[in-house]
Amino acid sequence: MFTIPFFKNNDSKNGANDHSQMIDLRSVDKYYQSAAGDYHALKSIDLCIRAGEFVSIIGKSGSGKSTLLNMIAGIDRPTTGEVWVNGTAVHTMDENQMAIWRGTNLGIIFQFFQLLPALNLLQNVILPMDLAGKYSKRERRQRAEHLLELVGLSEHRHKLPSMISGGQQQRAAIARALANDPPVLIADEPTGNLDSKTAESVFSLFNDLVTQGKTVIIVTHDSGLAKRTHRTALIADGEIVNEYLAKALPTLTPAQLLSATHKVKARQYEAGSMILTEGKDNDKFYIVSKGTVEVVLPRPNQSDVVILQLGPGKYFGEIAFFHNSKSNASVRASESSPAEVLAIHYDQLNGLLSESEVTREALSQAADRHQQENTEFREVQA
Amino acid sequence: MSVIWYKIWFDLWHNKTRTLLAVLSIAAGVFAVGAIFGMSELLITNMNESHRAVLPTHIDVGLTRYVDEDVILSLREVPGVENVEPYNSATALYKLHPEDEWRQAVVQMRPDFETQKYELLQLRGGQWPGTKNDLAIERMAAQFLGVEIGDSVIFKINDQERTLPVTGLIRHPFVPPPQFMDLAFFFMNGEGMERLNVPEGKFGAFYVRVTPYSYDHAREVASAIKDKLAKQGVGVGSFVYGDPEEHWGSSMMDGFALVQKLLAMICVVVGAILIYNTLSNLITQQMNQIGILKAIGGRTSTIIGIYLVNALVYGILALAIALPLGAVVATSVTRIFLNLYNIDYNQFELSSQAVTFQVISALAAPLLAGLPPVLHGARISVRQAIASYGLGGDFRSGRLDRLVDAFGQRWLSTQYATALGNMFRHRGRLLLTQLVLITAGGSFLMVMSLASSATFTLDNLFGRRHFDTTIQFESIQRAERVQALAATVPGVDKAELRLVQAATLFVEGQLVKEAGIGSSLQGIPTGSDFSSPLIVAGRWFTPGENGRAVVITRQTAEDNRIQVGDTVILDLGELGKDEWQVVGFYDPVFVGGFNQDTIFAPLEALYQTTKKYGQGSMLYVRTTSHEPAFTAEVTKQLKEMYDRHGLKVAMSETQADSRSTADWQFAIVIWMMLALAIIVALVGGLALMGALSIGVIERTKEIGVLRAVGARSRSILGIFVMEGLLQGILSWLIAMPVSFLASPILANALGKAMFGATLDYQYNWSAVTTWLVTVLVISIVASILPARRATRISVRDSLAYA
Repeated sequence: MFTIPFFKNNDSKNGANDHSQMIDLRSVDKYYQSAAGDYHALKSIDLCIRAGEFVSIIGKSGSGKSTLLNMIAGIDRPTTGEVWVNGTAVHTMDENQMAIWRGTNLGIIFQFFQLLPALNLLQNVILPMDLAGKYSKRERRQRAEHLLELVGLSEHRHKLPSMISGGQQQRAAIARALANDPPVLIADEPTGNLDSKTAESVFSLFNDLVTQGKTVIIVTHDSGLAKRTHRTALIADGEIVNEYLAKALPTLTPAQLLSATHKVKARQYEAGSMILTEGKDNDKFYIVSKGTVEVVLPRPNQSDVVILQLGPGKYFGEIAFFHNSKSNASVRASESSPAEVLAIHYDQLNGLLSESEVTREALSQAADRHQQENTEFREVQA
Repeated sequence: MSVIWYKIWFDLWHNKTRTLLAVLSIAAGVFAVGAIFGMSELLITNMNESHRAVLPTHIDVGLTRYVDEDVILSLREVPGVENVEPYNSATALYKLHPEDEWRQAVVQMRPDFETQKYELLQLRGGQWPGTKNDLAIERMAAQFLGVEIGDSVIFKINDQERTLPVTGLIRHPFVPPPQFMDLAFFFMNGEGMERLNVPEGKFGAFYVRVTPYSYDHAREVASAIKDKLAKQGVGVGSFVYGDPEEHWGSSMMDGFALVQKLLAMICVVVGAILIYNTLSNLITQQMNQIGILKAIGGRTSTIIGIYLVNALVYGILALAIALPLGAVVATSVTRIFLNLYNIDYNQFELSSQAVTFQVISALAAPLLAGLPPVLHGARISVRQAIASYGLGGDFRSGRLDRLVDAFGQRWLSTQYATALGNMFRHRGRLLLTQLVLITAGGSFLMVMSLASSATFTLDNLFGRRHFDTTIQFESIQRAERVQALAATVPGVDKAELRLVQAATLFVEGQLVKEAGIGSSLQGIPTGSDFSSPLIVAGRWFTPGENGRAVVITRQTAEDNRIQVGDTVILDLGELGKDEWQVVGFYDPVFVGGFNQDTIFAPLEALYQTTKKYGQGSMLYVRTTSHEPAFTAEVTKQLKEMYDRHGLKVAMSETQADSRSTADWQFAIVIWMMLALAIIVALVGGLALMGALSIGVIERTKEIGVLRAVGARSRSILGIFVMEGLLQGILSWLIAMPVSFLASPILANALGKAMFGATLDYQYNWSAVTTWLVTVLVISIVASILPARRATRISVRDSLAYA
């Protein structure tokens, strides 16, 4: 693990344990005009990223992930909606203001590295400090040398980008992105042009930065990498698929997930309040999106026992769907905190599953398994 | 900002070709500004300084006979006269070697060379003529003839040859350049002049300065002098007025310089357009880098600063080249022209005006030209800047585009249709490139039309002259005798002796034109077929007409509001004044300088007025062959024959010599204008190269795709070369009508400004073909480099371009 002694301790402001929002996109829409007509690139995007989170944005080509990233980076501006980054309304700034703000608040890493070809690695890393006017001239050089050492490129610091490999260039780009010690790092397909070994080393770097308190957002098409981040935002056709839906039903296609996103309704439950009652009819399938829910079964002495706790991305209500029965357990919001669940009607769920036999099969197997566990528990209790 | 400076330096140093092209394009214009503006200032300043230094006369008076020195000195009493200085001037024949032909000379003397008052002669070597055998030569003549102090000159004096040694070298401030006129100036003392039949102690001319000086006061004093002399029975042959401040050649140089300055500024503008293209090229190429700079915190002002500094560096480098070069050329050309005017100029000096304009044009032009593309690039959003370029998609779907597309599909193969479409992609860039090429083409065609108009004018002028040589006698001769003697020379077809009389023109009592070198009354036999001036109003004389009718120049008529039919008064000095009727105006074509401004009258009428029946001093001769060598030989034989018969010839000139002098005068100017037009053409080629280079960069991905689907290098080369050719052809098509419309205006303006001439206009159609070939060559050469660069783009590199 790399230590980064001269980065500010972000914990004091927006540390990993601080749940304050670092990035907040509110109802962001983006239209592009072209000869072929208007293109709706982003559709009412809402996205919150907390300080210290490592978030991946994943999606197919043309889904809008780079556009979304550009919104956060201030490289592009929303047609409507708001973009807040570290308390700054980025969407209200003009180009010049954004450039100045970016220099000290954001570090950007591009897929094709984008080092200036005329400058050597050391100069490329010094450049953002020159532009921001941060640090004295001597300090800039020292910082640049430290950063290059950090990314393992110290002995190449006087080389031009054309003289080093792609992986080395990307590491140099990371060093440049860290030059002004920004709280947020944004990377657009940072490993897209790298071999797997180099990609792994770059990804490790990102992990280390997150542990130091940086907020890191990467765009990637590599689902394997995406899984290793704290959160994954799946984007399809300009819309963000509900991430908990994606977690709960990973075998649905992005289009199906998007369709499901439109269908689900979020419901909030106070701490300890019942969501499902055993023995009662239930016509909805639930996915936990916030907080924790508890599956409870009654004891013979009429007190309840919590047999299972479900966090965000977990689901319930599938047993009744497949076995066509009343609810065979009670589910309530955790007594310690409120919960939010996404509810989808069985009819809608049926419609979804009819388009994805694989998902139906997986859910059915899960329902059987959970039913079996339920029965076994009751027998034990008895 | 040290890292940014490094980037600027890197961009300049590592693309030397682009830097060199940009620097040279600006340097061309700045050099032209320095050379032309410098030459103009140095020339005019030095001409006038030299003129003032010799204490130029206000009035140069020529008398009809030699008079005592006291008669002349008594004129000091005339109110307004500051002082007078008598002198003598006589013609002679000389040769350098016994086997040489006799040549014409003017011999001058002063009462005392050491105490001259006006029109100061300057001793440049040897000594002043102090004894009768001392002979000084004018230094321009000495240079032209290769004569030095100690050499001998053979004079023909009273049918005998007399050899005199050259003992001095003198600079005379007012001599025609030997290239213009084969007329050497020599200097003797009074005793020496006696051999040339100039009575010692008597004078036939004098210089006068008036006080206070003004144009009108000088003429008033001249009138008073004439009157006073007339009372003493002394006639005035001529008045020549001089400006005390301005050299007599400065107005012609002003007109010449004005046109050259305009062309120099055009060069600067064209160079600036190239800078625009170069910076557009650079910014297009570095659009990605601009995006990155903005993405990592670069402000718009920083981006603007980077690229404007680039432009400034181009300007500074261009100035470093052009400033000394311009100064050297300015000084050299100034020296050439000043030497032509017999003015010494051996120093190297910088014209402050030229340096100022050069600095301004070198720095301001690239900065101003670079501003639009720099501002455009700096203001572009990060997203647009970082987005991949290269796959077109920017071809608009307007009406013109569809028209171009339809034309291309119908008449051209796919790749050439592509070239045609590519040309119209960026209308702004197309417009600028075309502007430069059209300027180049238009300039070339206009200069060539000016040349053809000059030739046409001279052809017409000389075509109206049906004589081959003229001989001017020193004194009036009998026409019958002169013409009879001429008939005895083989090769003479016809000869006509005309009477020429100095005259003063009055309109309603107002003095219009004092008699002088530019005004004489010439009697023409009304049935003469020797020459007829170009009549622009009224009529020429009818056969047999012998009344007091005159034909004057159009300029005189316009300046004094004289209409055809008006009555004017001609004062012939001691021969009295008479009323004459203006029957027509003519255009002399060339005015001013050494040219005559003649008033024509029927010979019979002039005989009656002057009572000099059957006499004249100006012989016009038509030879049986018009070949220059033949006419020169006949002229020589005529002069020798007249000399044998005691008829002294003052000067002679064949039409061939006259024509070659006129051609030479035009040629200098036209060659200089052509040189500037060529500079503009070269810069036009550079502009085209720059525009095509930008196109290659912008279409990198497109080229990669073409490669990926099988396009050969030849095809890709063909697309860009064809685009270059189409640009050239389009510019040629537009330059033609532009020059056709502008050339007559330009020819008229330039003719008047530079030569004082009303040119007969003739469009140079052969130059149209020449320019087509030239612009095609320029287009091919300009497009080869970018086209070759395009063929070297690999599929991998182009599709990874981002």
